[in-house]
Amino acid sequence: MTSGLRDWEQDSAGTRFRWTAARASFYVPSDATEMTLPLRPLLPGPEGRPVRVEIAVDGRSLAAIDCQDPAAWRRVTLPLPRTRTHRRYRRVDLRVNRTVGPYLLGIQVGEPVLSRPR
Amino acid sequence: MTRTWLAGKDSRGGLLVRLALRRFVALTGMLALFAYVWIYAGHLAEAPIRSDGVSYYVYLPSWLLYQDVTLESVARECCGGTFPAFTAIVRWRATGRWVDAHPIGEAILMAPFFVAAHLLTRWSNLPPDGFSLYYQHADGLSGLVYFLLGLAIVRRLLRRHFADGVALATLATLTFGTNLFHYGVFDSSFSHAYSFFLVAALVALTDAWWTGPRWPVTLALALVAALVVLTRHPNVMFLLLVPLYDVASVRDLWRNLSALWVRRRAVLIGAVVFVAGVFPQLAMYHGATGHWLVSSYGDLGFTWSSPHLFGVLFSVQKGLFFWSPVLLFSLAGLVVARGWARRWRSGVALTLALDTYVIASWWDWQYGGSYGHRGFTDTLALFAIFVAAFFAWAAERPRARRLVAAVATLAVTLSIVQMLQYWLHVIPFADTTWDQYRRLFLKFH
Repeated sequence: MTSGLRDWEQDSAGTRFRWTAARASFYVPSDATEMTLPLRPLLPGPEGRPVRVEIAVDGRSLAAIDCQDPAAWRRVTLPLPRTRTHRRYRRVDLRVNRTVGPYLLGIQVGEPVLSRPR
Repeated sequence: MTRTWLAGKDSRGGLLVRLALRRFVALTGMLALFAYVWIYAGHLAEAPIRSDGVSYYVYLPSWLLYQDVTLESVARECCGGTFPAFTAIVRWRATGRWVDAHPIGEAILMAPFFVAAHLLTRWSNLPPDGFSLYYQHADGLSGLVYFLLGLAIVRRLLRRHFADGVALATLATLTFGTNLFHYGVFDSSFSHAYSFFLVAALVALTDAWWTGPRWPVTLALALVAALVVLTRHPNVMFLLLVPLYDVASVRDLWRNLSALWVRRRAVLIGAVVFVAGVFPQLAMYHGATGHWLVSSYGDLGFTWSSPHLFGVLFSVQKGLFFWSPVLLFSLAGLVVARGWARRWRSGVALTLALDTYVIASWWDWQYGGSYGHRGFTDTLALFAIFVAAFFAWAAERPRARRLVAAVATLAVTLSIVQMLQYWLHVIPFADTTWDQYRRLFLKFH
């Protein structure tokens, strides 16, 4: 289950990604302790400024990432805060500070890599 | 047997007709739900909040999630700060504030569905951003429900004034021989299903108000009149149906005006409720622009001196009678109408003529992408009265009855086929040419 993400695509180097809208959400297993998320701002930010992506987990702010280079993937590694939850999955929300065009394209997001306890 | 079921007599056919009529809305609802699932599970359409549906909807997340009447928060949350051009939500030049071309009525009607979606979203830990799964389908299903409620009102009116067979044939014709089903299911986030419901309610309440005025009817009529205007401003012209009820001459008009004077207390209170109902919209315009009345479409407007009358009525692009030929029966119905249907003749003829002129004068007379001409979908309850009047006339004439039944069946079948072609993206969403139409006729790929 995801929200605000377009279908999977692949770039020329073979990296799989999805476009976000202004807000996008996906779910990770609740026992994951760390997440590495590839981000690429293919379309420039407002007036050439970086594209800002705010990341939250279950509604709690986790980080704000500025992405500048449209040609490069930025891989952000974030520790996932350990909170007691009865849910099997936790919601990761991305909020992008600008969108482009009628399809409201935000930023490209690659496949997240998760660390989980053994 | 045909004669008896059209007359609604107690033959086996008559009982079947009565049963089908009683269950018509429920059966249509089941079919609509099936089609809805097919459309979205089969990816025939993007998520329900799309195109015009966005601008009718954005008030709800703005008011209820962000407690903001300026739309600024939702612009930031949905679209990175700026609404895209297709939404027709623009910054007013003088003030820099957002003005939405589409008014607030649909959002008010949809509010209970939105609240249910928000509670479900919270419960299931989906993003409570106003645009995730439950919000999307609350929007889509809300339009579907109002389409069915409109049908239920039309069925009630027809059952009361026509034989069961006539009422059933009219409902089937209206639902499947026009673009009503499409706007109740495929593009249910647009305003047309809501306006269809509201115009049907206006007709029913006007009838009730003139035949037995009571305070609840007065208040409901005023509230529905306000919602008609709040959902689509040009539909204000349908309020003329109230004073023009049962008017066939200037003398009748004076009789009605005298009756309104006698009921002036009810009229005054109804007017106060109406003004109170539309006031929030006026206040929003004033807050955004500094003016109480604005053209919310900005520089886009009407070409009053060169209306595309042929285009909106008969053209292959979007002509009403080209895409819904079964509605031609209503023109004959205007001539042969008797009894209750006659009471509506002047009011419906005048308002439909005015509506046609307004639609034909709009700069984009095709109304963008649509199946058939969506400008007229709001008025289908009015057409239904005269389609029924014509069917009632034909039912009494054996030869005409067979011919009318055959033509209606063909026209309804063609309309269903063309609706499916539109859903499958075979028919273009606008600017269809005669060559395209001929090439694609009855083809599904």
